[in-house]
Amino acid sequence: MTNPGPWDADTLGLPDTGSTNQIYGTLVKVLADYVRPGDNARLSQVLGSPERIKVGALGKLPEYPYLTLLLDRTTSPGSNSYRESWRLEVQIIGKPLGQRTAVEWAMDLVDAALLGVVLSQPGSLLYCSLRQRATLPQFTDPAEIGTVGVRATFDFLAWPRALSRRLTP
Amino acid sequence: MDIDVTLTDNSENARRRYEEAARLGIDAAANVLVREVKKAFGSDYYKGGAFRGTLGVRGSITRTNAERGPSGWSAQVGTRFIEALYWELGHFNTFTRQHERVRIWEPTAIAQEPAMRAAFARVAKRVMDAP
Repeated sequence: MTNPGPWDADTLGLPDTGSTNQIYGTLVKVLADYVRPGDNARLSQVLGSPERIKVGALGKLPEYPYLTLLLDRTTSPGSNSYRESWRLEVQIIGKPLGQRTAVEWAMDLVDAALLGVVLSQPGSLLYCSLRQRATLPQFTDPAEIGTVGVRATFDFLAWPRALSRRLTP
Repeated sequence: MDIDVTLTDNSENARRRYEEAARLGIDAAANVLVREVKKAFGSDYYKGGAFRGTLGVRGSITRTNAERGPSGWSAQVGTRFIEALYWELGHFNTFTRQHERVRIWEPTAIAQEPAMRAAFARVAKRVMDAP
């Protein structure tokens, strides 16, 4: 999958779960807008631009650090096709090794943003039910050497409007 | 009139049988995942370039025996090739000079979850129903 471009909140009418692009845009917005209470920490302090939040595959070498999102959606059995199980993978990759602390710090913010998210609107509900997180081992040849990374998966239960909109205008 | 009543406590037998059912059920579920991941590493995987073929991942996919942990029985499915992790998670490849990613393990596990649950239930039921 290629990145179709900036996840513009106004263009997509975010937050919303009426389409897959809106779902991705909403998740990007949640991360980009999150401000941690107490120290006002934001992801932009590490990532710089929201453009460093990528959806899906990357092409050529990006600027480090960067964050990728990838979503697997599975319809839950016995839910009349309205409920889905989502597994959202978040990777934050930095280079050189000195960015280790920065990527872990950034993932702490992602944790706080996504574990706390509850999006509820007519015909739509989603919340995070489980998170797993792991620091990636040092990659070696043929992977680029000197990168540091952390990966987390967030399991959501979701009733996206993309499925319920056939009933809800 | 006196009636003799004999009570037999079978709870220990039931617990043992349940443990055996869970262990064998996990074995069965792990076998499903091993088989399906090997299938997913099919011929298409090697069309992406000669390098991937040199990994020999398919033949190395194996699983551990089921083990009892604090949260129940579990088994791990994996490979000894660390390079398979790079391809699964994505990496910038020094040969192709671009980002490479071929997700196999996790999508297969997600897709096979119903089959793994069914295998577990089938085997566990057989053990629990045994005379």
